[in-house]
Amino acid sequence: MLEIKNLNVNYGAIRAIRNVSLRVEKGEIVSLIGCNGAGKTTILRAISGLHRPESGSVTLDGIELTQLKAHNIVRKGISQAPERRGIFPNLTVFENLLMGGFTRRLSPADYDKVYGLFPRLGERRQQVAGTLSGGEQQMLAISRALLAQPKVILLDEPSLGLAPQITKTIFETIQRINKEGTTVLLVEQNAHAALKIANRGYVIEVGEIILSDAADKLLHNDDVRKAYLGEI
Amino acid sequence: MNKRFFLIAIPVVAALYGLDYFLNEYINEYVVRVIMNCGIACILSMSLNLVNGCAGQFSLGHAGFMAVGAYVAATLTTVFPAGPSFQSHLGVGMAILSGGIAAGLAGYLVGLPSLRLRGDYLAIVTLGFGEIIRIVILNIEAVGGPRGLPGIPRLSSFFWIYVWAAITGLVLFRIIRSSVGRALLSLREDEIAAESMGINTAKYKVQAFVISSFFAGIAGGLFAHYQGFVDPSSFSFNRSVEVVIMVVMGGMGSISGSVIGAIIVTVLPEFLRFLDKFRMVVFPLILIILMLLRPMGLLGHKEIWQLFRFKRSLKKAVA
Ligand SMILES: Nc1ncnc2c1ncn2[C@@H]1O[C@H](COP(=O)(O)OP(=O)(O)OP(=O)(O)O)[C@@H](O)[C@H]1O
Ligand SMILES: [Mg+2]
Repeated sequence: MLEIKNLNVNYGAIRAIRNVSLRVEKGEIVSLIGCNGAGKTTILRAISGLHRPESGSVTLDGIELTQLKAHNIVRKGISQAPERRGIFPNLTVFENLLMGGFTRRLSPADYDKVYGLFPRLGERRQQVAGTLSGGEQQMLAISRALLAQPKVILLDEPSLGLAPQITKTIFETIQRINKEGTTVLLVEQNAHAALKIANRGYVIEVGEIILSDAADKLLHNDDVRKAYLGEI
Repeated sequence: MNKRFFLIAIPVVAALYGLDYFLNEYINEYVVRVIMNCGIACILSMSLNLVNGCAGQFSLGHAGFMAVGAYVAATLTTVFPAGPSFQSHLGVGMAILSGGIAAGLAGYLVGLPSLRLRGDYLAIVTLGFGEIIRIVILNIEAVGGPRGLPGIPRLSSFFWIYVWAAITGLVLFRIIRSSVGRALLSLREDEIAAESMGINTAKYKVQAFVISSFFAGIAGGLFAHYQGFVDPSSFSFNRSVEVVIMVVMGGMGSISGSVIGAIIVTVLPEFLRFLDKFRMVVFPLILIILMLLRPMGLLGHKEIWQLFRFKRSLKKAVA
């Protein structure tokens, strides 16, 4: 469904992503894990058109995306909950959600659906988003991306700065979103949580994919355990 | 345009017409002048609010757009040989509309750099634009250069100024409440997030500039045909700053706030006339105090009726 081939991305003269290829099949959860600065966010930015890659291709159902502007890529069926959430702090929860559905004609039922996923948002729909807790903001970011009704949703470190309990809730909801038909590309440093819910995983180090396998295999891979699961 | 619109619009227009007659007959000229200036200031502040308040693009060039509107309209009615045929209410109306359209075009050109610049940098570019317009006019002999352009037919009445103010308010309010308004708000909040929601931020920014400068041009045309005289110094940098003050004081993104800001900035100095030479010390002092008391502007991001509704529901909750 989503296919990246030989992607190279530069920041100025510095190459941040080197010859990366990965694919996400329909209905999958694919986790991309790596340390700080490995280039995970950069890959997502390249997919969603926020940063133009140097070379390589990104296709969704065979449609080339690299030449499209970011706002048109959303219409093709990719949306993302960006790193550090990127919510609109002075707008209410509901207004944030409205912006998520900007490209679609939504009915009240569509909003009720995300309130169903995250009841806390439903209770707080008139609250100014900047005053939400970190976990609630993450829920909002995911819901907002969902309302764009994507075929593939990109999630950039949803567990960032969250307590284990909230992380668990959010990851369970990600699974639910996936079961309801949305394909997921999940970027995480929390390798354990991310691989546990994923079908397949990729490991990225300094801009290159060094490993890719079924998620449960990666979970038991010695290198991965050493490097990302804190086991020696 | 539904039935309700006409049910409101017809009495409003009739009332404005009646007031126009009343002001001319019974109220002294000085007070009328202040009221007229208020109307023009309202158009300026409401329109700037779309760019500065809603879209968060800091523009310091509003006087420039006003100048374009004023000079284009005044040229049509005064300088052109065919001018006299414009010297009727309809003719002046057409001229003012042309001024607005010309200013809208200028807004398009100035909107383009806003795609790459933001914050202080955009402020400098728009400031530069305003000054360029003024200096260009200063050097056009046909419109009087630095001496200004006298003999403009004084046909913009209370009625026309306030009809345009009402149109401006209505149009801007409709825009803010539409998806365009929401797109502008979101790009003020976080441009990259807005883009990744599928919002074509470039398109909406330029649209905001065009609409905003169109109305600034209308205000300019009304101003010219009210004063009967324009010169480049009427459209200096100070004027742009004044409009920014109205917007910031009223509340970014609040149309009713802009109206209140415009009225305060226009009327307050008149009330302070008794202070004579201290007036221009006390006036800014009052502005500073107001801003300290309400740092988000008088109405914040809200409209005036939302504030009252909120208070009422608070009372209900307490009771
Ligand atoms: N705008 C930028 N300009 C220059 N270099 C950048 C820019 N953004 C990221 N980089 C560099 O690109 C590399 C990859 O960054 P990226 O943000 O993709 O990492 P990441 O895997 O998402 O890390 P983290 O887990 O910390 O979010 C880093 O070395 C970073 O310093
Ligand atoms: Mg990152």
